[in-house]
Amino acid sequence: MPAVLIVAVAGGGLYGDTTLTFSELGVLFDQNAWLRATVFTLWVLVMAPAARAGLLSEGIDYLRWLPLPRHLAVSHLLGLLVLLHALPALPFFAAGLPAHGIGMLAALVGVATSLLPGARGAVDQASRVVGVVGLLGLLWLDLWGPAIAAGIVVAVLRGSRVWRLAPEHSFWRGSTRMVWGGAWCSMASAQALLTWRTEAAALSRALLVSALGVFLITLVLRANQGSISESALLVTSTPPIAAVSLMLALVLKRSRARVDWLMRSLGVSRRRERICSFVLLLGATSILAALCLYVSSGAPAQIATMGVHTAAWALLTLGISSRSEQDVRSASITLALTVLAVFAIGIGGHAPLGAELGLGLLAGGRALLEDGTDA
Amino acid sequence: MLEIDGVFKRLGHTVAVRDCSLQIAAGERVAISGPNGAGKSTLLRIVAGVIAPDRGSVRWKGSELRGKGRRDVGYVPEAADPPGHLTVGELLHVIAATKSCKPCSRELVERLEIEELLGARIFEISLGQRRRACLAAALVGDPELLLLDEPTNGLDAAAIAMLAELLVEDAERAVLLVTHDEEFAGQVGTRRVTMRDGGVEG
Repeated sequence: MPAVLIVAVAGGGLYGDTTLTFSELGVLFDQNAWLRATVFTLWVLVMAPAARAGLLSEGIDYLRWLPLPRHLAVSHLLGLLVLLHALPALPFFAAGLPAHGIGMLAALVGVATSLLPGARGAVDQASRVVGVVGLLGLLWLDLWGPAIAAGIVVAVLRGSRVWRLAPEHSFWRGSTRMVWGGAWCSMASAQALLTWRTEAAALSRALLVSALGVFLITLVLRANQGSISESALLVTSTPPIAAVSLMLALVLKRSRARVDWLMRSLGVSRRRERICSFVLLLGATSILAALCLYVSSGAPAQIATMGVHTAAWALLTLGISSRSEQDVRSASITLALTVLAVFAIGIGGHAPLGAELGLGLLAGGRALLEDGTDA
Repeated sequence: MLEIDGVFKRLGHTVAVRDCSLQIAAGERVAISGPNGAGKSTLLRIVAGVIAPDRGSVRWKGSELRGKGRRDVGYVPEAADPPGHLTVGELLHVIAATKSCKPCSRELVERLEIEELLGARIFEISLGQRRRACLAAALVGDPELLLLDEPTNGLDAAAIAMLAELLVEDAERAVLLVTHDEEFAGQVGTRRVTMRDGGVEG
């Protein structure tokens, strides 16, 4: 959701009067199957963590013993999914195509319930895949009537199954040992494995934000007839690079806390751990920066600029995440303020890169030089 | 009164509960013990209706224990993890509302020493305090059947004594209790049962 809002706000600001109206967007959805499928898929994936957290958290598990009839619980589940997935269907209503809107919404909710956990055996798993593929196919083929019917059927059947089976924590019995090597290698593989097993959703979100960032740059290019100034490239790529960098910094921070006792027992210093985090952040955001450069056909001179830009944001977000005691909330607020400051400097035409680097060195330099233990 | 008949449950590749049968009469307090992974908590989750058995049935006063029938049931899960962003007062209100009954009595709130916690968010309070809040939530509506999964976890000695007293003084209530605390089980239980490898032994 924050990523979508960032894109919406930035898009509105960048294009002003030239931006699409809601009804034009509905017509575009109706005419372009690729666009429809892209928005549909991205939206379901972006909303999946929210659906999961809202419906399947441990706290909800605790409340399952209450004397609520099954149909009420399932209705509650589906109602929440409808709220989460209503936005992409609204342009159809604005364009005077209500059946298409209902079909889109029903299919979105059907796919969302298929992605939620709660399946037993191969038949259940297969039905989930069939549900997702079938609903996507109906939307692709413009078959709105069947999409409504199939979406409702899948949502109700899967919703009931999710409610019933989701709290069953099955025992995973993998025979493959995925931690190997000597002290350093086993620690690195243990941390990587823990990060993947516990932060897969956050990593997926970072990937989605990267895709949205590249999408944003492409839009800016189109609006500017294929050319973009260095300053505009820096400012436009700031929100996705900052967001992805912070997401990964927080993931690294949390995963570091999980292996804290291991780090201590091996005598890994705080400084060394932060330098490793910085290198990882720089590597990940550099891929995004390279993609931004690629779509903007960046000149060789811009490569160095984007390198410094990426390093500055890696430093900044490392500093913000290591200083944030309240974790996500305070880090996000600090980051949002920093992004706004850089935007203001960039729009005023005063060396945004210098400002970024200065702020990055101020925030991240201290984190890198420290060698104490966490408070 | 509570009849657990041939309940079987598989979780992933593991048989968690194996053809388990048990009857508990009104006023009886059954303490289940057994090694880790014996299926005790899974059995309690099935009786509470949190998960469904693969086969077998759980009947309360002769009918399936589900839907509105669960109004007579109070449950304290092992994890004691109600939604953390609710306050204790809000949690008690939700449970009272879904059970269509009055919230906890003043006397019970004072006895469990949670009056100071009613306005506190659950994630802010300690494990022991959370456990007390869960006990209060389970006792909303004065249920006839109480299901307790390791209720003494995180409680201090005084609170454990108070809980034992609270359970013993109501002669009408049936209690199904899972615990590793042998002393507590001896104090409270009128019958002791052991589970091993998913089955009931005695």
